[in-house]
Amino acid sequence: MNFGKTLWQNASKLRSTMFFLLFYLFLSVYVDLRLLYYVTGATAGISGFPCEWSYLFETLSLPGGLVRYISVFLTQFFMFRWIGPVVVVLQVWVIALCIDRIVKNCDGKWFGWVRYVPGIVILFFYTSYVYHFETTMAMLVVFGLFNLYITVSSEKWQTSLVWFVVLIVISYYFAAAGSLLFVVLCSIYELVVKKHGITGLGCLVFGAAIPLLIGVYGFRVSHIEAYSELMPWSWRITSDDLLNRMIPWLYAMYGSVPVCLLLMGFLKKSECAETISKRKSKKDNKKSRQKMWRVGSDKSGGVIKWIVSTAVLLGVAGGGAYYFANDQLRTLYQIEYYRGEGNWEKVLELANKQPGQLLSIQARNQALYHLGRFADEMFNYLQHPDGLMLSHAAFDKSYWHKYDLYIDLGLIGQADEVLTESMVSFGDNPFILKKLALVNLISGKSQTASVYLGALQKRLFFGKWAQEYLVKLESDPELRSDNEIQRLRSLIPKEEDGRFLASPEVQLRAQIENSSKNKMAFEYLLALYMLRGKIWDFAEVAGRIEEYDYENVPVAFEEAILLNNKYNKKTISLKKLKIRDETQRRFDEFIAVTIRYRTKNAAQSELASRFRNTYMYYYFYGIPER
Amino acid sequence: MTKNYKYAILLVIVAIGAGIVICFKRDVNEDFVNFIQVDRKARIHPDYSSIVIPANISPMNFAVREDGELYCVRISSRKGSQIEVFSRTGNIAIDEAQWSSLLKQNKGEKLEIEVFCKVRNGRWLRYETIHNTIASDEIDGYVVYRKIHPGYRTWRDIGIYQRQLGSYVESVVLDNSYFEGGCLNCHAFCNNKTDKMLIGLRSAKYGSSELIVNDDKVNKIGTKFGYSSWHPSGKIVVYSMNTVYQLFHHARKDEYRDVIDIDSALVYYDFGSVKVKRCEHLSRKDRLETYPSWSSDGKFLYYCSTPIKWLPSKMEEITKEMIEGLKYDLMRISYDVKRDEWGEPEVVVSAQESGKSSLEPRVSPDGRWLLFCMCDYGCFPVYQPSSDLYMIDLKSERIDGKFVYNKLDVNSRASESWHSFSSNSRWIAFSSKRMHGSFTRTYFSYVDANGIASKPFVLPQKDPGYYERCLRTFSVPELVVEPVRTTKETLGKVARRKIDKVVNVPITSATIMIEGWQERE
Repeated sequence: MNFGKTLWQNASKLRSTMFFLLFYLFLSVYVDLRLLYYVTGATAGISGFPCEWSYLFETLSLPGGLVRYISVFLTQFFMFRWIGPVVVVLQVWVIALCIDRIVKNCDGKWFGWVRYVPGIVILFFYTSYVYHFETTMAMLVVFGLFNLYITVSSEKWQTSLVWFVVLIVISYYFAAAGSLLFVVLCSIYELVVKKHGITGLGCLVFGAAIPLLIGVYGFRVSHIEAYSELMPWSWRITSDDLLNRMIPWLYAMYGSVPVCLLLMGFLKKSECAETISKRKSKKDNKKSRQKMWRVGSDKSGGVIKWIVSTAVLLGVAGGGAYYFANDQLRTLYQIEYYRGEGNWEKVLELANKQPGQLLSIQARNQALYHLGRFADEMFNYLQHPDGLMLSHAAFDKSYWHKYDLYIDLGLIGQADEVLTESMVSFGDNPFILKKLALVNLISGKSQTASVYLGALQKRLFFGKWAQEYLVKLESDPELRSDNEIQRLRSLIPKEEDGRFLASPEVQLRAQIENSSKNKMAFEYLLALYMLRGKIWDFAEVAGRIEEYDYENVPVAFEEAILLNNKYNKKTISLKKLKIRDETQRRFDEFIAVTIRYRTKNAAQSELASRFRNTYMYYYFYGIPER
Repeated sequence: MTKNYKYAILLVIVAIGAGIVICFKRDVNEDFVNFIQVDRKARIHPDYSSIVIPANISPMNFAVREDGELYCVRISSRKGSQIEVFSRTGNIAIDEAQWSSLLKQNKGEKLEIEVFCKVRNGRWLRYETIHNTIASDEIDGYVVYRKIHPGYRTWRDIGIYQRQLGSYVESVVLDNSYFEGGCLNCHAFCNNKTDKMLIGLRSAKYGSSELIVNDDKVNKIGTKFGYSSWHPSGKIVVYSMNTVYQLFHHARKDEYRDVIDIDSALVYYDFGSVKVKRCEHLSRKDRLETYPSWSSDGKFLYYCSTPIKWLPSKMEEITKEMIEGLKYDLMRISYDVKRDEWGEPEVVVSAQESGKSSLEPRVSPDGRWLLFCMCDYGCFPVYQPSSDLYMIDLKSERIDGKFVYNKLDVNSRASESWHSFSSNSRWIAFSSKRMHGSFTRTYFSYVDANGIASKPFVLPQKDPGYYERCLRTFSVPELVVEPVRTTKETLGKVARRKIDKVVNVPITSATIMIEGWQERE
């Protein structure tokens, strides 16, 4: 009985708890914030938290620096699947608390739902993998300071203005141009809620001047930065394709509270002003609060209202999340994440969700190679010539999708290039710095590597790894004791092999021609020729298969060899290795079917049902027209 | 209870204060009589040993790279009091006032640095004294450089900064936040002063343009200059137009990036007539011309030129051999500024004779020295590990008519480039990759009356470990005697506004139709 009563009295808290719990679970289980942190190209501006005083002083020397510093610190926790969402939920919860207090102080009992608006929009952001943590943190600071303003402002316009000036200065220092929201809130509060015209106008005038006075003249930032930093119209957001995807929603989030405040003022008019001028006793307040949350006088009617309102809340949040959920993008990010982890089984599983995506094809082929199945099974999956190395022009600037593959292939120069461009584009993300340090260590550029290691050394959670390598470099500058570095270094093409060769394909060929025992490069080169239907080029290289440690010729290569030997004058002869009987039989059957039908099109149906997973089928039906 | 609590806090504060005082006292009372002498110099970073330094340089903080629990460094010269610095980390932070006073009192004298290191057994080691020299000539008060990530095709944060050399104060001249993330590069000054300045801009929103500061007035003109040089009179600016082609030598160990000019030419902007003009010799169809640089008297324009080996429209025909054969001659051509007349070009350093590509000529303000780069091939020395600095004594050329070049001792195995002279011609600033490979850093070297350059030193930073984690390159260091007076707000405002002057680039015989662009250091 008592439990039921308690539960009933805390109905709104129960709703909030449900909302935030589901919010947390959704971020942890579905969104997985690690993807934002780990996956290069998922977002820009995650730079890792440098644990050094100079960074603190440098950050704090600019308006908005504190918000940025705290945001960079907290974003570190996105690295951990179950902790990152705690950070976001806490942020959303504090924002809700702030709004709650604003609503209560303005006696806007019909606007209690506004507390959930920023949370829901933030949920949409993360569902779409859009990172606005700094902007939302600035908003939180502003709401906190606005609460303080409501508490300290008085009926005397002079006192209110003094408090406003003090708080706007603090707000500007903390949240840069985000403080313009504070100005708007205070002005509406004074003009519409409290009906204090002078104070309201004063807030507007002083508030509009503060970025100029403090930002431009004080901190010497540009006019643009002074009036836009940490606001939705900041050029850093509008000009970045990764951040500007949900700008209308960012505006909606920023605008929701001012609009509600405006409505509260219009709806409550005199009542509200009275409420504020005559502060009720603590006891009265408590009663009023209980009353406010007691939806309906009748218990059963209240339960229904509670259920309906909770369902609407969860429905809006869930429906929106469903609408914004981008499974394709999520899968691509997951592929990148697990590729970085070296979890190739998982990469294969995820790539199969999007069999036709070139990015998936590229990752799947890489996974197949690592699982030792590439040249045997590659035609069990959809293939495309551009899917092997993302050589299509559309991927020219997709730097971050390529570096892992380049490292595997020993194309360290290319890896260095795409990683450097990634760093420039997306900021000093510690994972990019780590890879950059590695590629420079592999290529023997220890001086350059030491700078990346030096930067990483100061990053939270990465310092130990970097320190270990720096110590190693001191005692063993060539890293001769590091087997993995040595292995990868041995794959690098010699300088004379490819001095002016920019395309990876040509460089792969140069590697093979110069007797480099790079098995992956060998398989990829053959696969590339096969996928492009360049069977003559294939024939030139395939003869060297016995130089590599194959026990059997991989199935796809067997089929290509048979195809070449049938149609090409220059046949491929194997010495030790042999074509398996099974492959020969399959090839003969394929040819028999093609002979039986008069035209290529006529044969396709039967060939597809029996030989879809063969190179022969791909060769005749799968090669796309360029 | 509350009172006790207050007392407890007070006690803790007093204890901490006492601890600090005791630690400090223990440090300064260390006994250096019974030290063990080590027969080598201490390893310090950055390497500030055996160098010549200007008296007006900021404290050259460094880190002692020796194992120890406590470090002490004593800095002294003939006059003035000795500076003593203790450190538990090895990072030596020198007091700015003491340093400045010591250097100013001892111009032309030796500066001695003694390094002591206390090891685990409590004994002090004393390393060999580091001997530096304080030059009698001061360096210009400021250096202006561009800081950018070492990207090639993209950029994010990019800015031109000025650093006060007597302190650690660095300020923004202009960064891309002032015009919403565009790109800016190629700053140039006239006679080491900042009343005349050029900055090239490119922005998707505000267009490609050149900011011209002329007698502190700023204009934005509708064409972007390439490499540029102010005539000492300030009446004209010669600039290059370059169509560039990016290359990647992925198999090369030191530097995989490279740039060549597919086509280039020199033209000049006349402030009097507000026109872009051309000289036939500087925009030949059969040659690539670039890197203009005026002599200090304005009578000669030095520049680099090489025969073009391809049709600019047929880039696909460019071969490795063509690129490796791209070696620039160092040329000069006379000019009469009053008549606006050009003379005949003459070869200063022939690529055929040197076997190398000569680039980026700069003449010292006293007209005595011609400093330039030579590298194996190409036109972009910062991407050429073979690039080294060379100097020609123009005074001896005036006597015997021969241009004799000498390789400076400042060079390393890495690329040296982007050099400039101080206004008194005694100091050079240049970019070098010797310390951190892909990341260029700014170095300084003293050039004596005979043209002998001293061992270079890197631009000092307050934190000696700064460069070890600095992910930006410092390029195009230009020494200037005064700070840039035009504020970044003014420059930013002009950058954002419409073009003031539309200039028509004359169709040259080199016919650069497309504005070349790429991101590069």
